[in-house]
Amino acid sequence: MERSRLRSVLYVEDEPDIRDILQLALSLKGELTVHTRESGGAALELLRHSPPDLVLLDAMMPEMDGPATLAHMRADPKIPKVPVVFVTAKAMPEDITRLIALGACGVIPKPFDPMRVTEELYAIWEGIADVPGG
Amino acid sequence: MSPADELLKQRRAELARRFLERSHQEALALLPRLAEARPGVTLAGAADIKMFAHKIRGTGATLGMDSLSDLAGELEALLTKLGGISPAAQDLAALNHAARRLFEDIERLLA
Repeated sequence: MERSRLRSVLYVEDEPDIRDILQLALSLKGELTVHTRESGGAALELLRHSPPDLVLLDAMMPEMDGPATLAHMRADPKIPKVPVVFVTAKAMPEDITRLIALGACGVIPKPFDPMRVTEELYAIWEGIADVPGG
Repeated sequence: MSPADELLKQRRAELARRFLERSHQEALALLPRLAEARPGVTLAGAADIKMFAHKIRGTGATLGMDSLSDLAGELEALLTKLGGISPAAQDLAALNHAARRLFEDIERLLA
């Protein structure tokens, strides 16, 4: 099964510098349209009206963290089942297993290399196509 | 290196500078609390200082400042180890040493 080309991404991250560098990296090297939001709540609002092809979620955010945001996404009938990739400093194998079990299709560990993170994201995107129904 | 790589590298340097300037201001506000702390007395603002160190560890590494990230990681680890307790004199000395090294590295990178 071949998934359509990745065109747009929403990155949800509370740290402004991390948000800016990843947005730059994906726009410059991946030629992607990258929307950003600073919180899970703001992301849900955007997702209801203009969902992207994929959501990148910071796992650790104040108030509504990444897993809670994902749970809200899946519980909201107005939000389509957009693939989610977590971005997290806690990326030990058991952490990754836990995040995948929550419904994520991949994990990008922090700190990431801005020069290479686009390739990392594309590899995850290609992997989604290998999963039946992915 | 492609033009996109060159531009990304340049923008990363600009973001790093902005981050350092902001961190310098935060350090000036937060780190004196460590210097003023007394052994056996609950450390005021420990959670804020730990969050500050955590942020520098993560963002510093992402923006290519590995030494800064490592020093912030040392301060964060010390604060994690101590938890919410009142630090003994030797713990306080270790915290102040780690904080001083972090601050000096911020100033070195800003120079």
